[in-house]
Amino acid sequence: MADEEHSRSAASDEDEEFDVPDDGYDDEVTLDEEEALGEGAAGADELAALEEEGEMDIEELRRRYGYGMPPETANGTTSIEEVACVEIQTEVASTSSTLNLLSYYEHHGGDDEEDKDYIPYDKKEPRVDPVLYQITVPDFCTSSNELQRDYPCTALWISSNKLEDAMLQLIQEQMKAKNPEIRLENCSMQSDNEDLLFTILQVGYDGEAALKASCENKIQHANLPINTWSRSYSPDGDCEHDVAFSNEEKQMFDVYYKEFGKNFLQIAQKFPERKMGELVEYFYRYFKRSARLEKYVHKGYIKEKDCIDVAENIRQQIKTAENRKSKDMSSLWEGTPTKDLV
Amino acid sequence: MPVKEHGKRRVAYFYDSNVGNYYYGQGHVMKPHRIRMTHHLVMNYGLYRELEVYRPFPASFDEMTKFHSEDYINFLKTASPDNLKLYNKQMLKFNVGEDCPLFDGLYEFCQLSSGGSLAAAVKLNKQKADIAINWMGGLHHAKKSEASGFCYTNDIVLGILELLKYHKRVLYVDIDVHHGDGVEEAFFTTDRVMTVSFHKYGDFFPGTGELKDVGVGKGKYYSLNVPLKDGITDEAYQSIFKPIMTKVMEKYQPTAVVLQCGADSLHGDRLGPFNLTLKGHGACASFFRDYNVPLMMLGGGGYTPRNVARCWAYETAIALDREVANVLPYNDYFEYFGPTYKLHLDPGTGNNENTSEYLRKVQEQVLNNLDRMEAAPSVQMQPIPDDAIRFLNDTSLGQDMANPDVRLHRSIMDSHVQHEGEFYDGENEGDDRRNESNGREAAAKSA
Repeated sequence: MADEEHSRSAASDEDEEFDVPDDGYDDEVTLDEEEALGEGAAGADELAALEEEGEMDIEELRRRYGYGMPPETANGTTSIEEVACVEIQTEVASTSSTLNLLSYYEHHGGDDEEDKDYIPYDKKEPRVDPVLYQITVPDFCTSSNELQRDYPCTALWISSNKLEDAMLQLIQEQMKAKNPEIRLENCSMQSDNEDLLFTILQVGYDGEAALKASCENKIQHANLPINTWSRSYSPDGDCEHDVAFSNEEKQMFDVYYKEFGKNFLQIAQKFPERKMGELVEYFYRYFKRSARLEKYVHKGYIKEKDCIDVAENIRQQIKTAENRKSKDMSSLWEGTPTKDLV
Repeated sequence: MPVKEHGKRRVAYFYDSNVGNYYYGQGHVMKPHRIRMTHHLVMNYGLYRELEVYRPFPASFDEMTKFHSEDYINFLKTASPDNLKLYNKQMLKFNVGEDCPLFDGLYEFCQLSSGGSLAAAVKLNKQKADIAINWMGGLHHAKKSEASGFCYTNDIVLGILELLKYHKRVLYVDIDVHHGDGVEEAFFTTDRVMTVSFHKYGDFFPGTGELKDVGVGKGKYYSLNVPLKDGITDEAYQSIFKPIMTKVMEKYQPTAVVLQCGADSLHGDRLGPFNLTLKGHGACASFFRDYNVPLMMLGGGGYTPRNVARCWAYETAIALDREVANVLPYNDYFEYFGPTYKLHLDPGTGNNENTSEYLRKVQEQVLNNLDRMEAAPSVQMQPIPDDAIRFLNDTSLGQDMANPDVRLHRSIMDSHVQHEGEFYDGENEGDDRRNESNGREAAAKSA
């Protein structure tokens, strides 16, 4: 019971809009419970104690019930439990920090009893209000149809019977062969490369022209990330792209990654001139890939020169490793991000 | 009635590589990176070459306020992690800040996911594709002026609104483990959109989606909810999905279908307690592919990124009716897929709490509700307007009128996809038949 009171007064004290004396309903419930137990006098004491608690400072309350200072992690980060817990509290009119704290204590404060009573998701009735929630769908009528303009899109690749599959494959292979950079990116035989296909589309499915373009290093990037939140998005595709990471920045990233792991919020603070998206992009597209490739190359799974089918190579290695039942496997995958990325 | 497989479907696929770079925050279960992983699997399986791939433009403020309230979208546009102290009150009002954090680039993320679904809807409306896929979309919890369950803007509602311009009846089906509450709520009072959601119910987010919730007013019986319990298997799921959806298709006769393919109903999801494998999940996609109706496939939930990528790549293959090898091709994120490096998932061993008795009861009630629904509700018909007016903005007229001696711009030429049954070898064989046939096509379409 004390636990219950604690959380309630904690909530009321930190939220200024929340008026304690108005909270009559719960007090009555408490009283009823007490009376049912036949301890009316004790109930009165309890009430007095409650009122005292209601006026108490939040820190004092915490100390009284054995809670230390809130750990710093309670703000700013979100664990699944918190997310789950917070989702149901949307109706509670309270500041976000209170929510965070409450959910934190409910799950980490050791209040097992409270957890048992806790119902994670209340049933909700559908809400009906044509202004607030629903959308008014007009009756279907053809006459009112404005003629629809195409939604603006950039076509990156349109499959076509102008090029047979085998031919397309061949052209892609040859183009890959002429661009070692791309060859490393897509190592599997059947894979498609969006940049190559985009180039083929641009030259009108003309294989010769596509090969020529790849020789002249005119492969266009099909779907480069444009940081829409920092640069304008232009319909012609002539937009500024990411500025590549300098070696200095790469080294910095190495250091901070070791220090902070995948906490991009903290890493971003060290790169004031970079947007969050650029860092995430660099991490997933370049940092991780190069680190991984290096590892594979280092372990001899890939011979850099004839990188035809890395996947097959790795699979073979895994098979032999399994057969030997050695610890090679664990060392192979040790430190790869599989675990922390789920 | 299911139509037998005949010929290829044109599949349009919408993707913007920016989407993988948005970051909800450390430890947050929603990882947009999973969409990039899906994309890489699609490429490395060689599915990409059979698609029509588009990069949609981000949706504009006006497009998003077709459903959402202006002050809500304004808030999303202006609030950022740097200035969130100024927006304390609004964050509470719009439910942004906890499970829906305010992250860097949030507004652009919403623009991309909404833009993809809008582009997909327009592509279907113009009959330039039979199936349109947007794995960036499917954010079904977002409300008119409220974020919820990692969703901020409801691309599904926006896409359906677009479809409604050309389609009398749109069916929305939701196989996410969570109830599709945002879409249901938006269309709760209309019979022009029917929503059907299969989800876990009871002690689970978002708390809505009870069997008895069937819509109100004009929309009564046009919302169906199929509440399920933990651990449902492929067979059990299909045993209730197929009969219900068959009857819905028969009775409602939608002219377009939107399928939300939330992958959190798979076995091993971080939040979802279901026990489906790719096969059971994908069976829902192939169910609708077999009906020859315009189909929009959207993403949604899914909190074990490697399984999400598996699932959506597999469903892209289903849309193309392509068999893909169980052995995963090498790709940029290959090590995520360990230790099996296979496409398909093993079914879980968890207990299926959905007894056949329970499923039978639910099915009975749902079918009961369906019986009370008016079949294929008639919608007000208007005479088809004069073609000339409609031609004013139609580019095909311009193409027909164009000087035949001058080569058309490449972007126009590229947009011509020759029909497979076309006999001609070249585009301009003989006289100018290409332009002639275009003229007929355009006339036939607009008629």
